[in-house]
Amino acid sequence: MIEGLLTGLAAVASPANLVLLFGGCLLGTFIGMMPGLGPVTAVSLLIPITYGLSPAGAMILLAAVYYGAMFGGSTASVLINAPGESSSVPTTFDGYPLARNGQAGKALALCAWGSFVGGTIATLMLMLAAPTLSSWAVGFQASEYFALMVLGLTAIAAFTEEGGVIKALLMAVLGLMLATIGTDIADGVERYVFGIPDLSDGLSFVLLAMAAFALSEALIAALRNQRLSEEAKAAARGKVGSLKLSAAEVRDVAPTAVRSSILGFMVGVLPGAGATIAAFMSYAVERNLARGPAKEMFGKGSLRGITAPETANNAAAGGAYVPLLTLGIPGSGTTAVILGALITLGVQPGPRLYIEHAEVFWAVVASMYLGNVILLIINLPLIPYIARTLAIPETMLVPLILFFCLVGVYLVSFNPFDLWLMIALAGVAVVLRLVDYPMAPLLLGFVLGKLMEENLRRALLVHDGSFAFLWERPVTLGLLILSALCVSAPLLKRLKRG
Amino acid sequence: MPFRQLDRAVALAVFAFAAAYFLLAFQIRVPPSSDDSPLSARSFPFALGAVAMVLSALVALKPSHGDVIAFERKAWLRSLGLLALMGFYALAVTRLGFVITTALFLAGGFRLLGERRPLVLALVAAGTAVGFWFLFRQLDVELDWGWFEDLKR
Repeated sequence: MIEGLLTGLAAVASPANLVLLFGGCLLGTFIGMMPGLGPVTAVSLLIPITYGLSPAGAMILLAAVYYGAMFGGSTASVLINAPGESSSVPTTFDGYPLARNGQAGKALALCAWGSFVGGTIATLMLMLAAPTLSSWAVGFQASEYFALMVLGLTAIAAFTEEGGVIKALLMAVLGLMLATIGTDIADGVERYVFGIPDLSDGLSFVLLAMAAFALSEALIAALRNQRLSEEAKAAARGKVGSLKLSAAEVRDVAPTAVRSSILGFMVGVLPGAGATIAAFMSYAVERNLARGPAKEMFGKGSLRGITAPETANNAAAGGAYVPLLTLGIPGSGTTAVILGALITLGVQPGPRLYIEHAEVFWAVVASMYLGNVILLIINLPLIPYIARTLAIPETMLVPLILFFCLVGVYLVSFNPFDLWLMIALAGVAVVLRLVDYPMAPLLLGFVLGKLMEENLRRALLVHDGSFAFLWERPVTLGLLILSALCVSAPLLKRLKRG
Repeated sequence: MPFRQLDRAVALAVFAFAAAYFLLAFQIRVPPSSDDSPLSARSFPFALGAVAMVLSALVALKPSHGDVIAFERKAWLRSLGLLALMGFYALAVTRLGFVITTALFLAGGFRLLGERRPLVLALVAAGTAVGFWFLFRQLDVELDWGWFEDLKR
């Protein structure tokens, strides 16, 4: 394990990869800070760049962007009460009141340190958990893989807001449907191509990711005409105050950071749960554990109130890598995008990744360690300057995001057809998002679709065309029972409440 | 528009899409060698189409509650304008080339979203287009010149 980590560190420490790491952290921070844009958009926007990189280089860049965007989201939450994405919402509860009291620097320093502690503990846990899980899962056959993918898709339902279960499942199915477009590899026949040669290779993953996240996000921002208040702009331009924390403050938040890191990692490992649930859960846990005046401070500028969600959401981001790297099942929208990027680069995450592409696995682990250090090094001193980028006018921001999407997709294929398709899909995504259809399950379904069908076919071939493997193989059966529970639990809860 | 109404309308549109997908699965030509296979190229689409129809019907029958979705007419026009600008980009990039198309697209976008200073608008749009052109040249990415291909020589 130590040998592997050293190999990973050596790979990451090459000048080219260090540039990717630094650049990724900075870019991620910048994108994540823009109101409405989160890690998933940041990672989607950067995918076209990864095509010129090695798989390890691509993973280093995407991991750095992921972490950077998480931190960027916190900055916007603290300074202007506008979280970049849902996992930063709990940070606003105490971060913004602190900023209004002239202690924005302290709040941002806590975000940086909290993210560092959460990310580091999660990386350590990933390093320990992933090989164990990989060695257990390496004996999986096609039937287990199929069941695992069903679990990955249905687990989304268990963590969806009440009332949104059916929509989440429907989006996952729509993703699976989009994955069937193109030439079927097993039979060599075309499906849903309608005589259009551009469709015979299927839909491009980048195109769908851009349309579903970045493009639709920007269009909704234009629709809502989100403009920063003068007060918020002033906060972004003004001084953030001291970044220093006293020894007593550090002692006060240290146990919170450790608890939230462990909780965040555990939640992040669960497919479909992710950073948002981790952040809200850890905030609630800390508020319940607090006594006396410390409890009263929650919601008014509690340091523990910032530390808990900030540590937990970064730890959850690390935890989400466990199912991705060991089982090939993404735990969140962002890891679904990363999975798609890896598949495009010819690397299939799963139990065999640890054996066949050990360099990719260890490069990810090493880049997480270094990424957390770099984020701390660049973000702490740069906080006052980073904050000023929040004053970029929205009149410029939205067209620039649209341009990045267009050029990102165009440079992959140099085919205007892809641009037309992306624009059409973005229009549909905007309408779906307006009525609360989640986009992450769509991408998850799309990424897993072909693999799911392939594994089901292989399982049927091995079992002479009989579906009996679904209940005869214990692990397959166990995973399918879990899937059924994931779907039925929220529905039963709803029925019970009437 | 009330949320419930839009939710139902969208669910019905998804149902129509799923039904079309299901029916079009009949047109998938299955090779004779797959006739006896328990899972042909058609099977997955049939199953997915059916499940999507059931799920979208459930949403349509019981749409969720939410805030009224009301945007100003101007906001809709602004978003449609951005979609049209993107269409222009797709249409023009192979004809007018990367630099001109990008500059026009950005200038149009900035203007549409309310940028009123013509100098800032033109400078940022042209600067970004030329800047990216240089960047891609450094990365050995050959960009379109469109009708101005002769200028390259």
